[in-house]
Amino acid sequence: MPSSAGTTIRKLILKPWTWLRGSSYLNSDALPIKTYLLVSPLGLFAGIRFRSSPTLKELGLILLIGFLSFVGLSLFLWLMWLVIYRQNKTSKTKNIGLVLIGFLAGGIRGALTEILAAEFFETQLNFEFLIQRLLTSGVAWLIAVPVFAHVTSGIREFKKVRDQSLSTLVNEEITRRTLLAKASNSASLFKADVKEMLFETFGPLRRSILESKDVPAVARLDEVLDRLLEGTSLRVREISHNLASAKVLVEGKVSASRLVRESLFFNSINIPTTMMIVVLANFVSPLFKAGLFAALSQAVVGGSIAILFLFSIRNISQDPKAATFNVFLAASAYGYTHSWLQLNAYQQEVSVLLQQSFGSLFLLNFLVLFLALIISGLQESSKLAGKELMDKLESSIDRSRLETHLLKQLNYQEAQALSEYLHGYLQSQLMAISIQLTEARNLGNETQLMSLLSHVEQLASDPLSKFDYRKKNGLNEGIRILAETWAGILTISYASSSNVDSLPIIEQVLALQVIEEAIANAYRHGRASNVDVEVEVGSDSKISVTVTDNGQGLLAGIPGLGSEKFERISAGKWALLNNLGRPGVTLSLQILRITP
Amino acid sequence: MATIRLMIVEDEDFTRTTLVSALRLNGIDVIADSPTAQGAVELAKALTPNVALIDLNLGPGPTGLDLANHLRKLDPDIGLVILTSVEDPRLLRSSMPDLPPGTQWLVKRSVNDVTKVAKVISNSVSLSREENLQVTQSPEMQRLTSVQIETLRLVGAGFTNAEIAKKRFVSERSVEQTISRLSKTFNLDDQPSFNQRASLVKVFYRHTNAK
Repeated sequence: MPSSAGTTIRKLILKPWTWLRGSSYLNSDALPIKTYLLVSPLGLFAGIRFRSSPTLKELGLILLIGFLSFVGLSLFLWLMWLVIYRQNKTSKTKNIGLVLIGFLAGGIRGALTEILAAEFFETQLNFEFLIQRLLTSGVAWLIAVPVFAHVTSGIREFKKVRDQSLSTLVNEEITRRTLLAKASNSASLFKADVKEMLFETFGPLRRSILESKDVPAVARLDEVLDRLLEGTSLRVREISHNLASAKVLVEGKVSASRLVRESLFFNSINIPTTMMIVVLANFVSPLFKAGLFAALSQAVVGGSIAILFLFSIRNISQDPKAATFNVFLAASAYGYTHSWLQLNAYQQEVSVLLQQSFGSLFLLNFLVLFLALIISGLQESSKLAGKELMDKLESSIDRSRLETHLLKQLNYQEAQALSEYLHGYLQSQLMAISIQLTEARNLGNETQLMSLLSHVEQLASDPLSKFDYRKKNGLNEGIRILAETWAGILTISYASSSNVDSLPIIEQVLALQVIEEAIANAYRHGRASNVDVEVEVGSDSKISVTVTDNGQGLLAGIPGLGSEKFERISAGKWALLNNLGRPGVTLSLQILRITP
Repeated sequence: MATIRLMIVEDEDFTRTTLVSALRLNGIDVIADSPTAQGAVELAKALTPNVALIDLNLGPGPTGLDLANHLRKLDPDIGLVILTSVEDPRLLRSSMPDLPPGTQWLVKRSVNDVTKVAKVISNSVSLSREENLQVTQSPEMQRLTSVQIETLRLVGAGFTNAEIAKKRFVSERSVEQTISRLSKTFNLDDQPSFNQRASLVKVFYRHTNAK
């Protein structure tokens, strides 16, 4: 029997809420606790079939079906939300739609459960309970749905950004591959060109030796020519190999970005988090209802607790103390309400109920706090992981873009250097050999012929020995050489910040190319006699190149290849302006940095 | 004919020494030779040669044409011969300085014996300072118009048809036609196994040093 104090409390506080005593099946006698787990439409539906005397196996089956119905409903709602997000652009419509869907889905599910429960426990269906159940389940889902949708929409937004980034990456990759293919093509064409030049130079000699029927001499010449060609081919192959390596590097980068992309998906904890919220909402709602809570506690107290709970999740990482306090308040309110409603529902001793209420109070405190911590932690880590990975992806795209510029520049530089070598150095050598061959033939000078052949042999041993398509001089050394070679024609003075030497060599090479071009322009177009060069690496790691001359200033004209080079190396960050108050022009340019 | 006092500027040792000895054998007075532009300027001031045979490519720094212009500034009467693998100076437009008037253009590929070099050097002394003379030029290059030369230069520099059209203020169709005519001139249109554009780039490289 309840104590008088308990009765008073019940009368004073709970009387108006007796309507909300609990659902029909809670009032059944000897209700095994296991049946709480059956409270899902499908579970109960399955239970009805075995209600006379379910075996353990049948009970297990009922539990399984019950559980699957939660998951199934969650998935169904998830799909519905996705459809809504796809079709509704305005957030207001979207939110109203989501709330309605949540409310209807939860309400229908709750009402169905109630009907089936009445059937299962063979009690009369109480219309009040039915409405109550419909409302409370609806409200519970009404809260869960926007939370879920919010997180899901976050994932969708994220995917959208990611897809855009990926398409940028793909375009960059196409550009790079085109460049590499072009460069490979050039290498094989050069090889054919060498063969042709050798034939032109040595053809007449070979013919004249053949005429004299000196077979060993022809064999020796052929061997030398083969080696010359083979040596050249080897170097060309080496260059192709370098290009292939670059290609592998590029592909590696793409694989890396694919990895980033995949890990973005797997590391995104939003999906499990939201699934957890939904499944919990499914499980928790009927449990609360079945054992402890009445409808209003779910609708009102539960709603406020959910808000506090969400608030805590949001703030727990920033202000753990305040969040813990909020959770404590919420759980306390929940615990007390629970106790009073239980007192009303079961008419038990107040002392027993108080014990239970304190027990559940602490249990809930811990449970809610624990869940808030886990969920907020998961969400935080998900956010951080997402941000970190997004940053990585962005920087990978930035790097790809820079490397494309660099590749363009290097590709042009390599083609130019190789061509210069073949058509310049090698052609000079072949011209000199040709002159000497004619001379030796005319004079019948056997010694000169032999010495010439040994020179060709030397050339054959490493025909591209002097070819170095990547200038390895650092900036300071490179400018020193420029100043030396231009001396007598142009005076070059140079100043740089002390950290120039520590720049990656490739960036020094790019800076040197700019300076080389600017100096040549100063002389050719500006007719300058003095050039001041300044290179500065700023605290923001930007490399600024300034070249000032005392020439005749800027004249209108079509930009030549020099400006193309400036454009490539700086990605558009350059300016060429007439000096103020004195003759000449100043080139200001910022080198593209390739290191992140 | 005025006595020739020749200076040779060539950065490659084997070629320079070959030219020096072969030209001396042919009766030309080689008074100076230098591998660098800087050395050449000093020698020109000290020894006042009346002809300079200059390799176009002198490595990093000034080109042979920069040096030629400077030498002409020092001595308006100096005869100039540019030794080069570039078959047509028009291909160097916008990446090289102008040719000083009266400059001889000697293409290395055409040189089989030194008498040809000696002849060009002799001509350069008497040549009018008002006109350029291209000593050698392949028949294909002679046939090219300025528009074709400019298009070839831009193809060689890696520009697409659309980019070339934009730069030249013409339609893409017109660029295509020019490229087609270029291919015909260089007999590239009957080589279907080769990529036409890549072959044109090769032509450009061969004739210009990819300058």
